[in-house]
Amino acid sequence: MSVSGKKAICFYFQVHQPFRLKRYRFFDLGHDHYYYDDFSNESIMRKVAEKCYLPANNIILDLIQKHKGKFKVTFSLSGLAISQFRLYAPEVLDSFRKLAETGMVEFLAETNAHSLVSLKSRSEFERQVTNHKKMLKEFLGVEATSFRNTELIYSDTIGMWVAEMGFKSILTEGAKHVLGWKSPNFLYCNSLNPRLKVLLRNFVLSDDIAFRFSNRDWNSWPLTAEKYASWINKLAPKSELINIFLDYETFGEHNWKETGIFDFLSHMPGAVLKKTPFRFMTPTEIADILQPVSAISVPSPISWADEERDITAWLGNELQVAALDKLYSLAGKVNKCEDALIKKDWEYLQSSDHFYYMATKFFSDGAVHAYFNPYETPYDAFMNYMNVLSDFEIRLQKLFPDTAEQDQIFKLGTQVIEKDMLIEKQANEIQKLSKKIAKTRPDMRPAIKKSIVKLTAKTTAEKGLEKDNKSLDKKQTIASSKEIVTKITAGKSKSKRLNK
Amino acid sequence: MLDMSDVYIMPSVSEPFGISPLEAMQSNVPVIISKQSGVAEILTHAVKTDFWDIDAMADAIYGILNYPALSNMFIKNGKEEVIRLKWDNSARHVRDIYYRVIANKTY
Repeated sequence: MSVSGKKAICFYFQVHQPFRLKRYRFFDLGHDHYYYDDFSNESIMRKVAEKCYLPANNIILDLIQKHKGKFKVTFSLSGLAISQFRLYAPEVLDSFRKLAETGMVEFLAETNAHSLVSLKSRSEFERQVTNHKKMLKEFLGVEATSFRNTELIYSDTIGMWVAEMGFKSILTEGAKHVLGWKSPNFLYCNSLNPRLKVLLRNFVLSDDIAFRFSNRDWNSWPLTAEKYASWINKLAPKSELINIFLDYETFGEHNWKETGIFDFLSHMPGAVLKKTPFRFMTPTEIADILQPVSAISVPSPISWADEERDITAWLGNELQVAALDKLYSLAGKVNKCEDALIKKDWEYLQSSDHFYYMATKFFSDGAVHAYFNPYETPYDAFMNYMNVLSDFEIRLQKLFPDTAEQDQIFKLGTQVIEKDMLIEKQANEIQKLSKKIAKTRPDMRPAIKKSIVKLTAKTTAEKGLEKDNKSLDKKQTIASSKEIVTKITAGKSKSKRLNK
Repeated sequence: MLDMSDVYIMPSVSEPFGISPLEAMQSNVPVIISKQSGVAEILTHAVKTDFWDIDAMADAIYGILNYPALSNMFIKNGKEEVIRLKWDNSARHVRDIYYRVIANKTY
């Protein structure tokens, strides 16, 4: 059955934490430019670090050392998660770096902000992926060669973009409506660019750990490492590749330590290696070693969220569509801008979580949605986000006005600044020249001094005038500054004449 | 009157039920009600604030007036919700509970 004779199992964990927004009223618009709820961001990060990231990283490090090159895992750390580690839990970043140094762990590239940009704009998408690659290089010292999009969102087009950026493989959901009769347990390739390999998540085996592990009503409870390995072994004759993709918070956070999830994690690799023909591999290795069985066609985007496995968790209602449209309508201006704070806010505001909170599926069924949601209702989430976005827009508006009138004022403003600089330059020159004159013609000093004093007085007077004008009428200012310039040029030639 | 309104607000300190927001929703007007009103218990598609929280109320008014998507959602979902509120449904619900209790009887 197997083309290459090798069987692979891929464990991949998603690590992401959003920057949650504080309650932002419309009274704050235009005054308060800090949008984040530091307390909940820090306390959640600390809690998850203690309960999940640190203990799980330790176990994985032990497993890697114990199995000497046979156990491999894959992580994706969103840029926002890395930023939060740096702010609130630097030791977590250190422990990830330790994992990276073993060489047994692959880190995947994604959009830096864990954003939905792949549904909106290619250029912005590529910019964010490049940023994330840089971040991985800087903080973990790794070069990412495989890709996963936010929440495993994937379509043929997104795959093509990723392929053209040079990535070898991409991870996504083995959604039933895409696969049909096909099995997720093989390697596929992108239908537009077959060089990109597509790894499909086996959602049954993945959700066994993620959602069912601590459910006592489940008929297979308790799930042990041996039982799990035997299920995988059952699949062996008919599969080449098993992809188990999970939220990293599955360990210790969604399933508490008391459920035995950490024991499961520490025994599972041994059981899989002993009882099954599968070997642990990372996505890049899989792309190099295994042969794809066919292309997979995904015309409209899929993801790993909810029962529908589509993007309705983020773009399922009018609110979400309006918010996302508004957000990306600002992209052009943000890209013109060099302000570090604006760039940072732009990134934080893009994270998909803000849109997830606005899902109205929450009204019918949405235990998972409710679990992560800091807002009482989706309407609340929407209002808060839009207020923040409106303030962000005001800030951009100040920098980059968009109506013709605003634009003119902005242009005149820059002209004024340019003129200011010119005035200063020429004032300096005058000073230099006057010094020179003073040196060369000591006999003429009093006369020259007089004229220079006159000139400087003029310049300062006009500068003052200009300041007043700035608030009144920019056009006038330009005229007056032009005047100043001509006067100064006149003054310059005068002093030159004097010099002669 | 409701036809000319953009938003309906019932900031009651205490309200046994409050049928007027339902009339507003019926007439395609988004509603803001206080959590302390009886009607808040049965409505999902309405902004609910504490009666003393004027900041939240002002914020909600601003939101509904400025973000058309929000107002549209309230109008659409509110209308659906209010149409579903019928004595028939409540009566059926009570009858179902009786049936269920009778079916489970243990003597």
